[in-house]
Amino acid sequence: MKWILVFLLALSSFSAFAGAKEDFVKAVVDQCKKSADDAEKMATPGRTGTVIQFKLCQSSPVDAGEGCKLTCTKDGSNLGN
Amino acid sequence: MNKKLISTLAVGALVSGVASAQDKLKSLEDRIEALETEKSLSLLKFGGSLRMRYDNIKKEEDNTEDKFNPIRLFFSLDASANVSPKLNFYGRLGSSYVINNMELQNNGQKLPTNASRDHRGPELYLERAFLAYSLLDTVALNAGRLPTIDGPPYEYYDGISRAGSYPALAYDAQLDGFALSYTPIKNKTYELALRGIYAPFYNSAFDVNGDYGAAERGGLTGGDLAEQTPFYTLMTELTVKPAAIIDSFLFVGQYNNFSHLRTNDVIARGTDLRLVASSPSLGGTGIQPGGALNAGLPANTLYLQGSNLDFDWNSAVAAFDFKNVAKTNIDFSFSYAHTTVESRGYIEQNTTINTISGGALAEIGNAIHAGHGILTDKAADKNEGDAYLFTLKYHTPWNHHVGGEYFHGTKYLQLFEQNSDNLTGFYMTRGNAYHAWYTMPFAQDAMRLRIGYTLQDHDYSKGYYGPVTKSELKETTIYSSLRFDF
Repeated sequence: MKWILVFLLALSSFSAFAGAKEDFVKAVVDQCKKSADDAEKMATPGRTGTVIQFKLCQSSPVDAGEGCKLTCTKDGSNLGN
Repeated sequence: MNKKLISTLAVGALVSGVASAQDKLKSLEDRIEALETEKSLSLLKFGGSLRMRYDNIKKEEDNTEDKFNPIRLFFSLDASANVSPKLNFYGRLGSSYVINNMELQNNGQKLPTNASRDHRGPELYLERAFLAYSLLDTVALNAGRLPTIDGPPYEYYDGISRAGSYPALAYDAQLDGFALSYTPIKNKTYELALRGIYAPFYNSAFDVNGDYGAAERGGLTGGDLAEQTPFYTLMTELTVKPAAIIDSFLFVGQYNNFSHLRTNDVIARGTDLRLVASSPSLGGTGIQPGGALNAGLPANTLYLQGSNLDFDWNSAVAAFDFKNVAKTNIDFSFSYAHTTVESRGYIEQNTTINTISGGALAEIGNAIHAGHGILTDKAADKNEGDAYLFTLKYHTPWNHHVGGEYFHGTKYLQLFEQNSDNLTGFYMTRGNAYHAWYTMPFAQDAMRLRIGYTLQDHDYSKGYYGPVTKSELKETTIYSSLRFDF
């Protein structure tokens, strides 16, 4: 029960973060050929963290650390889907 | 006894613990539900950009020198809404102006120094407002005010991501319309998109009372006014990332075409000048729609000033972009554009129409073409031109950017640069133009200071109207730009 509570608490705290983090991890794996575990470790929280920097894409490339520089796409900057 | 007591206490604690856990679980469920509800209600996400730019512009020609040193402010507020996985909205409100410009009061406008409290109405402008709807996995529709400006290589200058769809040499204008994209290939390495865009121009004088251009036609009714100029664009876009020796490669091939775009009409489109002359409501003399009455004309004569100019324009553009070439932190972009202009008629055409009494028409005017066509002074002409743009940027190890750019335009090049930051038409130069800059991001890349220099060595005259002539004009600009993205 305790673990369920911990899980739900974590879920409620990070639900908004989760999609952006998944995108970040996928980008690190695809673009920098890192493992998913390493990519997870490179995901740092907060407004100035790597996940939000990659999501907002205010500069490009985004320095994700460990020599990994990510090319990002800003929403609404191109036609298509 | 002790064992019984302990067992009882243990069971009691367990029951109490389970009940407590259930309460906490219910509380968490409620909170998660409230968060999800709030997230669903908070559909819009906001961001934006604020830029201050100083230009020191110097123009030299025929031993004369002009200078201009404006400070300008650019502001944009972005909003996006992820309505569903297949439907998104993107919008941008924008404003730009020379700061504290007191000259505005001389142009019949209000002072800028009390703009927000002088009951002037909103003066933010719609820069983007479009939907993105996935009809199928491979087909998407965009409709609205599209992201057609700030395309490649605009992103080079401040070290941002791609900021617009059309390459800079394609058609630098804010366009409303529809775009249909077909993406047959889309995986983590390759993306190929084929796109058709329809963004027609209108020249219809419409008011909310349903009078279509009544003012422009001197109170006359009838006739075809709601005139449309179709504007078609075909685009092929290939993205490769990451490639073996570069971070990403982009190719955009684009063809733009519009025909019979009329300009500078002062009477309504499609209006037969004879209708104006013969209209009883005009009394047969001296009415000049759209301009001042021309005194001293013979009796029963109308003097009309207008334009019968229309032109066709098309361009073919190829833009190539290489990011982090050979892993050297160098980005390189090359764009080529070929433009064709076919001009018919004249702007500022003066037409005298003689009438006889009763309004019946005796003679249709004597056209006096005091003005010009597009890139010509002939009644009909066709001209073609080319543009080449090379852009190179180095991303330093300390996260600064240094870049250089070379542009060359031939005599009859006709591009439409309406949204770039420079004030001298850098990307329309008929001659050679050079640009160098240095960009320093700081404050976690939220701010950027850019210092730059441009030199335009014109071989031929600037502008759209009239014949293109030899030019000795040289324009230099030293600028600094402070940008804040939020």
